[in-house]
Amino acid sequence: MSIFQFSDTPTVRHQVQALVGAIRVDGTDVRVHKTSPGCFMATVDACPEPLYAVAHGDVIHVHLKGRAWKIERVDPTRSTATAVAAGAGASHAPMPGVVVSLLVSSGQCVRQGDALLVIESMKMQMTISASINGEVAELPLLVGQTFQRGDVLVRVQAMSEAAPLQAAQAIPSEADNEVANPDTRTSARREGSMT
Amino acid sequence: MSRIVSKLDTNSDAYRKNQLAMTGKVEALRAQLHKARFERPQRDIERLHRQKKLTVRERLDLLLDPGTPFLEIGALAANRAYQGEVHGAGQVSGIGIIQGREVVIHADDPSIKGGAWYPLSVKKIVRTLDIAIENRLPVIHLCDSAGGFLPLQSELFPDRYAAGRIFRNQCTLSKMGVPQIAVVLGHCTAGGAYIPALCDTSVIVRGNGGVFLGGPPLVKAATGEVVSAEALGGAQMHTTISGTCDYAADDEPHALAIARDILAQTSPIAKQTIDRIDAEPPFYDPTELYGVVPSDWKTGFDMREVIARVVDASRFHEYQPDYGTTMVCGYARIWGCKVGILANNGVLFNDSSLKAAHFMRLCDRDRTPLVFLQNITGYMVGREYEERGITKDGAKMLMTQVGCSVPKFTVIVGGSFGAGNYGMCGRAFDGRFLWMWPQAQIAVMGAEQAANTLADVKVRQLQRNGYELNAEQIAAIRDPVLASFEAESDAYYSTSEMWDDGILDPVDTRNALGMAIVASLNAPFGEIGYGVLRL
Repeated sequence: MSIFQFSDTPTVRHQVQALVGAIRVDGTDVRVHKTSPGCFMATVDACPEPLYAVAHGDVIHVHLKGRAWKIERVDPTRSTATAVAAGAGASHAPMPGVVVSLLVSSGQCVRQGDALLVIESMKMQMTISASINGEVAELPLLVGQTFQRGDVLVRVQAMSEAAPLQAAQAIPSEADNEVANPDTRTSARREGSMT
Repeated sequence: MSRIVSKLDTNSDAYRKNQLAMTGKVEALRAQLHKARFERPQRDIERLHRQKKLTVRERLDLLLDPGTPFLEIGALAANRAYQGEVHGAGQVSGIGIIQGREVVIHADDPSIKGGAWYPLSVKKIVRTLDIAIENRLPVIHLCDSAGGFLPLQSELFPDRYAAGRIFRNQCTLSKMGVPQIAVVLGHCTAGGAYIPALCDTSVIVRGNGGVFLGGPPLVKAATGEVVSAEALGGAQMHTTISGTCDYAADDEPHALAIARDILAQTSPIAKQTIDRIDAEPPFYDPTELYGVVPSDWKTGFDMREVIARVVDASRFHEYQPDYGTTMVCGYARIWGCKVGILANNGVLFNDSSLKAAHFMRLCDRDRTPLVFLQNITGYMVGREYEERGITKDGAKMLMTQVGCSVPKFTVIVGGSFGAGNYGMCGRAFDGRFLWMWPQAQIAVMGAEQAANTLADVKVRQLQRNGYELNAEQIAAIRDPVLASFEAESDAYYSTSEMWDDGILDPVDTRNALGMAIVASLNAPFGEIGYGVLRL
């Protein structure tokens, strides 16, 4: 069993299982057999169709019915369908420390990945970045102020890009949040140690 | 195992700033290396050529297989000692290839103080032979030394790891069945005479080579006998009368050719088998490492960006990706060899320490060598963490790490402070090799923390006696401590004292690790067994 995605739709994952003379994609079997290196004969909608495929690292280029596709293998250790939502944009202190600098002010609009503030603890400085797009709703600490583990360092209120003003008040559901920010989980777990 | 997805923006200002800073550091490193390797007063070079001698680098060119890599050890040893005059501690050491075999080279540098042994020269030779012992590598000694540097004799002669250890290590190598060859290119006097005597085979150059327990001046002083160096311990005498040396050579190239031929007669060593496939270069360009590491060591960075530019095809299988996230653990390949990588992404907490200990045991069980990438300011301090047992969790890392019998390799990429140095396989923990990057820092604590702590102690001491210090007086206590800590925390000080095996240009990290890992496979891994963990 492997997990693949089309390069143009990277948020949708497909489970692919190799069978004898066929592959099972998301539970549906497709008959495929190899005719020569890189050339296959696939049965699509009960019709035999020639299929060409070449692998380049984790990317497979496929040609079928006059169209080219780029398919990527997804690392199974890095793909979780049920990712943890990032608490609607709140960043909590990963450890006790002190605020070194504030890079934004309250009410400012920020994009996912923007640097918000720099903290220092145990001689290490860390930049806290926005995990979602939105508006800085809470920035409770001043430069030089100390904090304890778990204290809120900054809270970004999510807003939809199309209607930023109206949506500023709306708190998105976890599912919305996940689709809008497929990388939420990664940034949440790395924000404590990354710049 | 999938390719790491790099988040590095090579167009960002931060990247350019880091790249500029690191480029400067690497250029400075190259200049230092060139100075240590090649820059000598003209009169010293002329003296060597008058004596029909080659420089030590010319000797290596003739000895090693052409076009093969030479992994030099301690190239900048003693750069901060002896007024900076004893380049490389007067020794050239490393792992090279002769007749397709990996060998350890120990060579005196006669262009520096006649190849005299300073205390750090002895430390370097002992380390070189330790590498041969730990990795079961044959040794070629290129002997050309005036002997111990007498004004500092007390620092190099009697202690456990002083000059006697060189000969003890030679005997240990022989007992282990590891071949050693000496090429006598100059005088080997007093203790130095034991080097060829303790080798399996030795070659001596007519005219220049000499081996004697006491040289002509000492013989005259001791017994009144007047004798020439050639008659006392030259090539003719030792290869036809005493049998102390085996082959006489007409000149240096002849001697080095004989040494190459002798080595070809020894049996190749069967390497320890590990999971190894064909190597693949990293997908991400290793030169981007210059832009990964922030110019200020206090600024954190994602060590996955380093891993992505060191390992084969940038592929990495991460272990426990969501637990103890300040410790990045996972499997990768370097030069095709499967390794377990432990890398710091922040301070060590309880969970990150437990994760590291667990991962090390997994690798040890599977006979997978361990690579430590250090950027560690220490274990987390404070009441909450002490209550959770941070001390005993840190102890688990040490106990497990020492228990592991697979080879360990360490690269200090950023900071290496306090107990974090120990937990991440610092020098005291018997890793096979340890290198630093040019901007790396190493100390028991940060310079500012140390200066403030000491100033604080002094202020309170004086307060008890009724004295109050003003800001200027406190600065007078604090500033010298800060300056001395900073001077002794950088990579050049570390490498001067041989706390490491050298400073690496970051792009060379992959090849240094690859060569070291492959060399380490000459020695069988030990049995699996651990000390008692405080659970």
